[in-house]
Formats: sequence, C-alpha cells, structure tokens
Amino acid sequence: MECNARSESGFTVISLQGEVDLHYSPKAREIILKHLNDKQHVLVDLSSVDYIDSSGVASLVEGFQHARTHTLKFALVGVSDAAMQILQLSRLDKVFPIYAGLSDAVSQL
Amino acid sequence: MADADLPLLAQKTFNSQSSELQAIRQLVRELMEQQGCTEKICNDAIMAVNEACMNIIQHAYCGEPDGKIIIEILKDNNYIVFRLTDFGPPVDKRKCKSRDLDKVRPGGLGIHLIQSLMDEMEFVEPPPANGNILELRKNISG
Repeated sequence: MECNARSESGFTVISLQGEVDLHYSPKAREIILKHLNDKQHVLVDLSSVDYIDSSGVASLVEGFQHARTHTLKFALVGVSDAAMQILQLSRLDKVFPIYAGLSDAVSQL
Repeated sequence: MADADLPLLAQKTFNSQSSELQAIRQLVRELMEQQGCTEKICNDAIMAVNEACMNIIQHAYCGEPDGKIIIEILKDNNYIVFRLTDFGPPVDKRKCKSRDLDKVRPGGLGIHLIQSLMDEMEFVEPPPANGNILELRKNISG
C-alpha cells in the first residue's frame, strides 16, 4: 500500500493506493487520525485502491467518527469499484459522504 | 460439511501474520481462475477468505505470529470449499454472528461480509488436540 497526503483547497487529501489490508491499515489509520488531530479537514482518495478489507474500512469509519465529533469535514472521493463493493456490503456507502472527484467534494462540502 | 474424500485442489500452510494475507489472496485468486470462475465470484471468494483469515489472526491467535493457518481448497460438484484450520482456543460459535449494521462503528464486519459473499459458512469438527475448522462454500456455477 502507498499512502500520501497533500494540501488542496483547504483540505488534506490522503491518497491510499494498492491493497489496504490488515497489514497496512494501521498505517492508513495513523495518517488519517494524525491530520484530523491537527484539525485539518480530510478527503480520502480511494481511486487507486485495488483491494480494501474490513480493517481498512474500520480506519475510514474511525476517521469519519473522529471528524464528526470534532466538527471537521471528512469525505471519500473517487471510490474505486473494489472499495465500493465492501462499502455497499457494509451499508457504509449510505454513511460516508462520497464524491466522484476532488473538485466535487471541495465545491460541495 | 465437506466430505473427507472430496478432490483436494490446493493445500498450503501460512503463519498467523497479517503479512501473509496477500499470499493467501493470491492463492485463492489463482485457484478460482483455474476453475474458470467469473471475476465477481473470484473476488467474492478472495474477500471472504481474507476476512476469515483476519479473524483467525486477530481472534483465534490474538495477534500471536507463530500460529498456523492451514488452507485446504476442495471441489464439491459446483462448489469450491475453503477449509480453514487453526490451532487456537475453540471459538465460541455463539459470538460468530453478524452484528447490527445500523450501529456505525469501526470493526466487527468480518462475519457479515463472509456470510454475504459465500453460500455457506460453518464451523465443523475441530482437530483432535485444539483449534477450529471453518468451512466456506462458494457456488461457482454462476
């Protein structure tokens, strides 16, 4: 898994790439929570995620709940088919704010 | 429960480490592709077996990295059977059930995903000494 963060239009965009499984999800969780703890609004770009398991999804849920508690913006963007499948199976596609692309999220959040 | 004399398509032993999950998924993918499965059926099986192995790593072995996970893949007519054996303490089967998805919280999705993705999920008679055997069945006829 590759994971990087950059600033864009008032958000921190965290891009997850490759396979986000139990081996790598702690790293994703750490980066997401680090930026939220720094009071940054976070967009997680899942467009290059080939595989994500329930531990990776748990990291996203934790970020979402942390953001909501601290009145920060948090959304998923460019969700790949592989990531969307597990979100739908978990019914979390109705919970997370999800946007097709970064520009959509930035303009609507 | 799968019969003991079902054709064995593959058998491999892994350590109870998260770094093994990628190889486990690769084993399932190669086997399902050899069987001519559709992409969807292949991906369903990969996700389900990955979730089951995660549960073994996290719950049966509680993160202990030296445990063993034996994966046997068998053919039963139109079904592929994944038999996962571990040697951790016996699982309390009453706790192995899907949780309420309306309560949004991190974790606890594994059983729900496995049951959603596979046609059958069953704990069968465990090894003589200790451990658990979980069988997952997937109909590959489409």
